[in-house]
Amino acid sequence: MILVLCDADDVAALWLVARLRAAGEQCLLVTSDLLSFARMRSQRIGRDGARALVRLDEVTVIETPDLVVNRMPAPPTAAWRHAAPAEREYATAELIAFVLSWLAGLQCPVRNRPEPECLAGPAPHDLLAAVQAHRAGLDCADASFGADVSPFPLLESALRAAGPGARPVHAVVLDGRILDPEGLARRAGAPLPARLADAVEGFAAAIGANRALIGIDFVVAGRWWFAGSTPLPDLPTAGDTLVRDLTRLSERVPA
Amino acid sequence: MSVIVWGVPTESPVALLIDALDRQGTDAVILHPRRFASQTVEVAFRSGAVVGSLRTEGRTIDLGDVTGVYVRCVEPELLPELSGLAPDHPERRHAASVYAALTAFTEAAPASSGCRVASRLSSMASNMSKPYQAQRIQTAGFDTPETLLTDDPDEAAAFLDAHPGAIFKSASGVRSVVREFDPAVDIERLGRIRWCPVQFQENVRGRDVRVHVVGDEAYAAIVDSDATDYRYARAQVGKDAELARFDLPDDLAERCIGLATSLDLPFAGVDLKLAHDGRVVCFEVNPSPGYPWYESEAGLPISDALARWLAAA
Repeated sequence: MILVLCDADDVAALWLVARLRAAGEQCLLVTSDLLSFARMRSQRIGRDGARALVRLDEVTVIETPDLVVNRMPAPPTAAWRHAAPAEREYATAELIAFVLSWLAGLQCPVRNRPEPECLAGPAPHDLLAAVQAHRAGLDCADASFGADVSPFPLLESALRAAGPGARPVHAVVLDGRILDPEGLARRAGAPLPARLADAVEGFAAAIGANRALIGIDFVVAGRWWFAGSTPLPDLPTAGDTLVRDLTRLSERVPA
Repeated sequence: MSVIVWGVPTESPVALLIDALDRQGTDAVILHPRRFASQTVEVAFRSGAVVGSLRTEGRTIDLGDVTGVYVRCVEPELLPELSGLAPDHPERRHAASVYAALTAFTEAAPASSGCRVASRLSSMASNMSKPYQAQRIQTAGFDTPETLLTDDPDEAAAFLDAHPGAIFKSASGVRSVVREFDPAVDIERLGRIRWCPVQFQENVRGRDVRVHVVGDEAYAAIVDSDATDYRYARAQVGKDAELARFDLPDDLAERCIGLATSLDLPFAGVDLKLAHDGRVVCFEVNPSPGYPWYESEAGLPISDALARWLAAA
């Protein structure tokens, strides 16, 4: 069974669930709200390792999924929506702790395992992302991180460096591999630079995303300017390639 | 060359470090979170490198001359100077921009230039989930206590039956007093866990040892106390805990250093228990340890070690 965790309004995740089911996969969609009202959430950690059980209702139990696609950027706190602020803050911290531990302890492939600073997966600071992207061989424009900095400094600096007529494109990257590179080239209106695949693989490894499903933004105008990364990629842009590769992941016997 | 101390200088861990930097003749640039109005920080990515400068108390420092940063900062939203101000108030925005720029620098500088940071805020976050950290601790070769996180009262009751004297505490980084579960008092409250999983742990009997890792050095203190949570010994058993220097066996010191390294915490407080059954059990790794008590009571030269490490890049 493939488990997809997401917010209720995550259109990309809903698209993925529909495509996986159309491909014949048994796929369970669990929204953050559903997880917040689960009948039981439990995890044991001991000398034998970790094991967990989440019971959503009388019949639906999550224990040993074959694959988890995690797109939850925030903990499941819907049940605490109307609590007093101090109670809600404490519960939020405790639920972050639970989700982080639960998904870290699952034996199956999880894309993405949560990081302590982001439940949805690898999300390095933009400045660190720029340093690692440059080191990996991606083109990175100069950017400022001082006073009144933009919320998207890498995208803005890439657009500035690329100049008029540049085209922003989004690459979906699974385990360091660009999915559907032909489609990406089509959207960019330009062939992929020869070294791009290796650079993307190096970048993913440097930010701890060599076993992760991430998105990388580029601004293309002759050069492919790195414009940031996200643990919440726009999944439909990778199309059937993504569905096929995730299905293969779910069939792998964990080491 | 300079070391940035990003914290409140009257707070004891910060004060001890400033004294230690002074003793070793290192220029300490103190960034007091409450004095944001006199601070300006510019950080940029230029030609593949992190560059910038900071201005504080009339001084200007090139960030390229900074060998290390000690991070014990206060988030702008917690500063009393800003309480009651609108979100877009210029003072609030300025404080936020200083905080954001320093965060950017401390996150990226180790990878960019080898500047030493104790510790990056993102790395400190592993302590936000003790059970998550426990799994990382196991990977580093330590035992951890048998632990149950659950929102099911029946499952909790069964665990408590199987582990007499079990304790409960927060699973997150929110500070809580570790307490033994007392069936006479607490059994009625078990039903309240229904809406949020609570962490229960076997009560490991033995001696507490706190190991402070500084780079590739380890300084340990052993604790003498009957309290469940020795930090609150006076409240729990009416007598303060006593601390003494502890000679850590080499293999244990190496495991502690390896654990802190694996968590990207060059300065860390590792909580161990030398269990009566022979196990060495690790409870958690504190990412920003409050070390002065251990330094003063057990005579551990932690602030000197930290000052040396920060200046050595």
